[in-house]
Amino acid sequence: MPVAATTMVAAGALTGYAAKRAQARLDDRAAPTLGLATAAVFAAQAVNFPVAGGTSGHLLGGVLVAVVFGPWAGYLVMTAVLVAQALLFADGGLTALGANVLNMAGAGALVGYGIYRALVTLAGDGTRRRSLAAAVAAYLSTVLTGAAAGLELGLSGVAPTALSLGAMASVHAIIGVPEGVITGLAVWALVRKRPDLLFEPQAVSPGGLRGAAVLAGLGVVAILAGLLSILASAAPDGLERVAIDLGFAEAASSWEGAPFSDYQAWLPGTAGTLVAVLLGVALLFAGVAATARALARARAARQN
Amino acid sequence: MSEGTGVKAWGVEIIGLTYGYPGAAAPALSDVTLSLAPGEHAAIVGPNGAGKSTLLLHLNGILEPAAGSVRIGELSVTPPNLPEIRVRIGLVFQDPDDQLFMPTLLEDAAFGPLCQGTSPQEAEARARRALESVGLGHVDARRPAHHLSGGEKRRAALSTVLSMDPGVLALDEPSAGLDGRGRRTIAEILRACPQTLILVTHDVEFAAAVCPRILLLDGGRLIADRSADAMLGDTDLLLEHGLELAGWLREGVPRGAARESGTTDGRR
Amino acid sequence: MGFAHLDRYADRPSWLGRRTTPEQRLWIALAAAVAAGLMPPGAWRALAAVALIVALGVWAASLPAGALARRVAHAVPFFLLPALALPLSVPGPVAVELGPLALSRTGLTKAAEIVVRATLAVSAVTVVISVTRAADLLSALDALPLPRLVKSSLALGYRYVYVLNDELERTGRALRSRLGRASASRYWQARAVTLAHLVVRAHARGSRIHAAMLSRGYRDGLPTLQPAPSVSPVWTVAIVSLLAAIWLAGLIEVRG
Repeated sequence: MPVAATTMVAAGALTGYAAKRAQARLDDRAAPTLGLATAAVFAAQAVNFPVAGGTSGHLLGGVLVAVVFGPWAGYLVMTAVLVAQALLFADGGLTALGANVLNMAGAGALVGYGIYRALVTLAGDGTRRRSLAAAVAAYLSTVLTGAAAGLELGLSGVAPTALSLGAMASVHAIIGVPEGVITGLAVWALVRKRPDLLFEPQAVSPGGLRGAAVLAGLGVVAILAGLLSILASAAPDGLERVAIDLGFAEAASSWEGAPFSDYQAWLPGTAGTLVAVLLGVALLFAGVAATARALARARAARQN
Repeated sequence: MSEGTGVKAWGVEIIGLTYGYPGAAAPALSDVTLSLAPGEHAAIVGPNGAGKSTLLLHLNGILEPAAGSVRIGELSVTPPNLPEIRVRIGLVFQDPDDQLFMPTLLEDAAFGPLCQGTSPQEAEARARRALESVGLGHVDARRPAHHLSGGEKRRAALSTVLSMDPGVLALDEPSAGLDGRGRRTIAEILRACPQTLILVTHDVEFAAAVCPRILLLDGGRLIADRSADAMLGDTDLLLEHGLELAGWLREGVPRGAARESGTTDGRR
Repeated sequence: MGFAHLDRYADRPSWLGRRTTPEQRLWIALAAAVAAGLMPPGAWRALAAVALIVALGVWAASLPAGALARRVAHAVPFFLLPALALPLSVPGPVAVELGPLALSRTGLTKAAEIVVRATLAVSAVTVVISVTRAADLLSALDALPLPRLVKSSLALGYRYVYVLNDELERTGRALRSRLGRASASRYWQARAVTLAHLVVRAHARGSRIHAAMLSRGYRDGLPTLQPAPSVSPVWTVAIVSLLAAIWLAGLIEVRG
């Protein structure tokens, strides 16, 4: 209940702000542009493609929409898609709408775009680099989406947080692969054929990196804070809980050969790995931001 | 405002209209001058890429001319006049799916009146009248346009501007993709319109069925301005500008015209 | 996610359709989703009361139960996955042993509860939405505090998903007939190019629609007509208060 209410309020506020930003940028074109982008995401999501093990999935599309229509527009498009799924298609829970918006639109499109922009700034422009940046951003944002969902499930008491976080993140680590591949290839095709359609067709100026880095950083920090809080709160029987992580993975048959009898030896390792990964990502972004700032300064100095 | 058939038809005057799309080598329109009397029906024919649709987009200020001017009645098409201009002239785009963008037909037909500030009740009444006038009174107007046939979509697209009681109708290829019956129905509706009518098409026979006057546009220039009969009779001219009459497919191009066009091609 | 099921049962005469407007149904759907989805854990009696109301709703909406079940089943994987993990994860007395896996009684109860709650919430929303045309639902959304841009995106998204879907199918067919039995990398590449086409098409259509809107006097925001005939809100108020009362009873059931 508190999680549902909190996420709803947060998503509402963010959506209001996003609407203001998109409106300011697109003016009277905003409604038709976002409307058709929404239709495109509906249509793209209706196409299934095979994932591993006979299951199939569909594109989430957050990063792709953001790369073409801009991060705020992308956020709003994903929000509209989620509202439609909750109501029109009655696919998702209405009460989880706030959380879903934060995960799929916030982490999926907004933070995803931040990562894409940071990578393009860092790696330099060019068709291949840009598509690679989009692919990596799509992958990471998908994992972030899953992790955020896991965190919320945990916080709302549906499942132990360590379990749901680990499970959702690892499931999305698989889902993210086709998402990344398709997004990257689609951006590659767009950059080659119609670069004018992209939100930022010109090379991204490092000066604009701050917002991107802040967005990407916020997403990472949120996950990290959640994870640390669980580890702190779950102290004594924490081990036992994280054990289930393995149990779940076993049930989902995505984790092979983990001997169940001596899972206890695995436990600190699993949790530790998660923390290390998240810390690593955070450090990466700190590095990106620092490098970009240095680059910007150097460029500014050269121009003067 | 729409009592009886009291539509106020406006004249249209285009003087020296010139426009080039950004980045294009040749201008899309160069020095086009023409005028229509209030209530007159005229068609602009020409091959693909002649500049017909570009011309239409200047009539209500979607595109701004590089040179020249357009007037609807006494009002020139300039940014401050655009709200009034867009009430006076109803522009129907080529693809009905672009024209019918609202979730239901009724909302589509009511969109124009609502944007003009009409009350919802009055807008709905006007929308229903407009749908009725194009023979869609029997259709469930609270459904999306997706369910309509091609011909019904064309007529629905027309109703979206008729509901605004415009004095000028400008239509882009209203017969494209329709079967024989659909074409005939649309032609009958258009012929009966009291408004000034500008019809853009490459379907010369359809143009002649609706309008007594036909203008030929090619390469952004106005080539000819004749009566429909005179235009249909000048097979050489039509052939030279990439236009066809339906009979030619079966019977071949009339002999004189074939020789003529052969020689003109040879000269080039 | 398909689109064929939209509006399928919307025009069937039903008690619910007669006694409520689309906007009122939206509030009922929200109330039911909250009552079921946010019912405190352990309030089984209150949950049973919600289930009874949803069952009555199926009857009041004159929906074929089979069709409803199929639609609800689409949503099941979304909550089944997290629920499946619970019997393994929540500590408690062991209920069943499956080889090396010990399923805890507490975990099983929790999982069952989540599945029941989520199924009820989704069913309630599905019942109420099923008797409503998508277009009517879109105009009813005006009552919700969503930004105008999200509402217009939903309206245009609903209108144009069909158009873009048709185009997507055409490109897909053309692609399949040319690709034959292509390698995996060609397959993914083709998928992505189709997607890029879709984006280009959406972009182009967006600007054409913008021109069509401007031509009819558009400034900003899609105007809406007054919704269909008004119906007394008596039944809506009654149903929403009943659901609220049950939810409160659930809170008390757990506390007391």
